[in-house]
Amino acid sequence: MREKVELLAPAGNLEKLKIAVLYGADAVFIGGKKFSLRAKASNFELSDIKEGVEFAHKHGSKVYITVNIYPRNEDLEGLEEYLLELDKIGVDAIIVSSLHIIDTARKLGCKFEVHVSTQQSVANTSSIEFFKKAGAERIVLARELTLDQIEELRNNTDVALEVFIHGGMCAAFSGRCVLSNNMANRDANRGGCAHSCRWHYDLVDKGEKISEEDFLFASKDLMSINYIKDLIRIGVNSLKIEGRMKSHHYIATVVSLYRKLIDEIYESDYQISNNRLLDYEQEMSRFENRAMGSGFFGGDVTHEGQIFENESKQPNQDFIAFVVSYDKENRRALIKTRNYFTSNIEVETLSPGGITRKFNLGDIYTLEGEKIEISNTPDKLYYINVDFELAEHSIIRKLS
Amino acid sequence: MKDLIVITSSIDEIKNLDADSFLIGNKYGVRTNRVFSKEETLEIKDIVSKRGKRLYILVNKIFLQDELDGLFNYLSWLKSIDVDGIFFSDLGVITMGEQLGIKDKLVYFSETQMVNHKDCEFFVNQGLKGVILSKELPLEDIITTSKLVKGNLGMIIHGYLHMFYSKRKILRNFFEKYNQEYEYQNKRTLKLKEQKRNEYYPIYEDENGSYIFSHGCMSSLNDFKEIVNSDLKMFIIDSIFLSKEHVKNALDYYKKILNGIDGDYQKLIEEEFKEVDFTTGFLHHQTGIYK
Repeated sequence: MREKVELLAPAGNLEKLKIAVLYGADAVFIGGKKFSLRAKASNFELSDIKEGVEFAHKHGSKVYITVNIYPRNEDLEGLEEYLLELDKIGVDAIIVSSLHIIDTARKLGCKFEVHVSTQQSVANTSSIEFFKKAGAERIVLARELTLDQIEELRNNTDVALEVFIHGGMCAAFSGRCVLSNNMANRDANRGGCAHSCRWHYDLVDKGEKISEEDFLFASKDLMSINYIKDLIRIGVNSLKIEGRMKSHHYIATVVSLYRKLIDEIYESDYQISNNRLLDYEQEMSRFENRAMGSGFFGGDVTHEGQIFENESKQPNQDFIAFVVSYDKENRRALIKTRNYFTSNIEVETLSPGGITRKFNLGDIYTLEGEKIEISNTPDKLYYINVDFELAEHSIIRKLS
Repeated sequence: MKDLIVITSSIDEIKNLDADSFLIGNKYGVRTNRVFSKEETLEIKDIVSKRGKRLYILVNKIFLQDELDGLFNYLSWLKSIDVDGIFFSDLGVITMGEQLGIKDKLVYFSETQMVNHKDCEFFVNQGLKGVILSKELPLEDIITTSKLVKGNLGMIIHGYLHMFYSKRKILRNFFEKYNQEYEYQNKRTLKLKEQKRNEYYPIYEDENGSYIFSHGCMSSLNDFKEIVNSDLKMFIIDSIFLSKEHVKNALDYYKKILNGIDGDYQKLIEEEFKEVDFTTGFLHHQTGIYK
């Protein structure tokens, strides 16, 4: 019998790793301090990686480490030691672009799996065979493939296949763009991408500007609720959410939502109704503040899959706090704040396992017991009275 | 032996230019000015052989599964006509090259990923004919890498640098979004101007997707003496967006430098082609991780 599909989530730090695991990720991918893209998001020291791996393994989840830069000569130093350290810690896989890094990991005899990054834009079985021979166990496929093309690959290889299902997308084939290097002196293939595809351009023909409208060509973010059932049916091994820079709230809600969806697809024996899929879409739209599209799953990306105007950068303010602990005796929760909120508003909690409950927030108390009406500073600790037990890492969000 | 290669779309150039090798497009290649048919390729092969030059074929698409059979047949055909080299980007071509026994004809030309000596070494050790370094490398890295790798390495020395390769039809989508007629398929006259920079990036689109190139024409004439004295062996002039005169003169100057004839060739080419913005690409332009 085919194994249940893996839900793979991003984590930019240890706290987010724990949230991803608790909210239902079967595996989490994180970056170390070295050899990783999204350098700004990668703040895992080896000690953090170790703690993250222990936590994840304890909860039955796996940890993959992105070792996905194309290193320059000066970046190569320390690679072997780093890979051996990762192996010693017991990470489950590394996600790699460079053939030298794959080769080194295999020659060192590291026990972890090697997953080929989407930076390699693998789109056919000849290419898959090449990486298999080089020592890879899994391919993160190019994000330019349709559902039918993914199925064709699945039917023609025994190598594990991973597909992006949610989050930001490159406008170019991944790894084949140096706009950022050229325009901003920042190396896209070493984690410095300046997102030049999101800038505004004029379109010029023979020296004359030919359009009043700004020329933009960034891709909308990917959202795949309507494709998950088919991806599972096809036999894709892992479904990946992008976003190591994303917030706690984002990780918790997106992971939780896809977890529920995947479980429901299996429980319904693939008979999930269109109405239920619509529910999931509506739930997603409550907190996703970026324009979403379905990428190449359904065919070529039309203008509807691109961004043509400045996106609203207004972050979602609904996430007001997360639960640090719950005091059963006094029936109160210690919360850590995020966004602005006032006392006595209607809120909803989302807890690990995807459980949601609605209640009135009631009064807010400082640690010294002083009652306050407004919280407008992040990372403050307050008490609130709650009649029911709230799990650690539950998030609290406003109901609008 | 040093190999001066011109990516060309012109049979006239193949007949007349004094390059060592010609690299041409076909339906399995992208971002060239012309797709040569098999018949034309045979004709070119004949011309090149008679002139004592070499013929290289550009097979640099990222291939989808349903293209593999055709690609395999095409590579078999290239073997049968005994081309001198096949420049590729999709690593699946190595798998096929092995099956066909033509790995020693393959040159890895991914354009963005060969940025350190160890990765180059990996591909050289696969038994390939050679590896072309990525265009975003500074000169210092190019020289160092060439010394560290025992194999046939090359680089682009002249032309507009290909910076962005997408399967998305970003031009067509733009025109459709604003309900305008799209008349620019495969046209080479459009440029993007980033609104805060006074730079113009050539852009075009064909059935395989869209391509954006660097502002200005990269020239390494001022640095070519140093480059030639390194261990690099293949030097590519990419003729896309260049006039025939430009390609001819540039080739002539590089050839002179190769033959030890000194001159201020950069000054000459700038005087001859005043309409062209010349740059040194990434040769003196280190790119880092942060601003």
